[in-house]
Amino acid sequence: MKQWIFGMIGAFALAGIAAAHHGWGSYDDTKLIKVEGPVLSLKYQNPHAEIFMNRDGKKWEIVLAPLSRMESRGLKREDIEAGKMVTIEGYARKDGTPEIRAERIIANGKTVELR
Amino acid sequence: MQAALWAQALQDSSFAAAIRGGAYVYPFVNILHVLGVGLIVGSILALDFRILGFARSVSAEGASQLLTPFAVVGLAIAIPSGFALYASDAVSLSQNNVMWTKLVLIAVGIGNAVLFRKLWNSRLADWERNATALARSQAILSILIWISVPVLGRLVAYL
Repeated sequence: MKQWIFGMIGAFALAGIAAAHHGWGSYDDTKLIKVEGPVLSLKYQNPHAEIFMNRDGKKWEIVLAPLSRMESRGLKREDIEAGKMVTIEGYARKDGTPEIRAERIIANGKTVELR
Repeated sequence: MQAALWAQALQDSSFAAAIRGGAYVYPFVNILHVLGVGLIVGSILALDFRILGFARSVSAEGASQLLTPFAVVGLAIAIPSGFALYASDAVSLSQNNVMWTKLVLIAVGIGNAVLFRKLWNSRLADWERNATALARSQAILSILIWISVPVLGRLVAYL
């Protein structure tokens, strides 16, 4: 029965890989990437806020953190609104998708850890 | 195509925006969902093991009377909160096979439980003498399903 359970879970896990998303494990944390520039747009939403920034001529999605975590650490919505200059440090997706999970953000003179 | 449009419309609705928008709504709904799932899985597994013959000092009928309402309340909490979480990110979740697999398992699990009650509820009073192989198989199926459901639910966020 044990084998059956593991087999079943394994099969479902494989079925889902196509839709892969989120979790720090999907990102290459051996290479810290820094991006500086204006915020192109902001999605102020849970479970993670997202901003979009230009990097090497491409538009990157930067995954930040849950809204309550950012707010409790002093990062306000207006600090990361479209047009604001920010610096983020984080890790790119391993699969080549132009997406970065941000470890920290520097915005409006504040450095805020996001993990 | 129709389904994709529907998911987009749901995600763009003010209801979905309210779920993902505030700092505390989403975590609150998430907490409700976890509580609901905990009630369902805990009560159903306990009842399944009683059906399989564990803890015979508790009557199967008594276990069912105590535990079934917990499972029903759990479903009443987990289904609407789950729908709200789905709505907040409907487009990408609609392409998530793990979530669809989970929903199919939930449907089979509920169907199995309803069928079990229909078939065997009247026999629970003297269960050890009345239990059938089919009833036991249904309990084992139920255990497998309701362990898989929260596993898949958690994996939705990571796969």
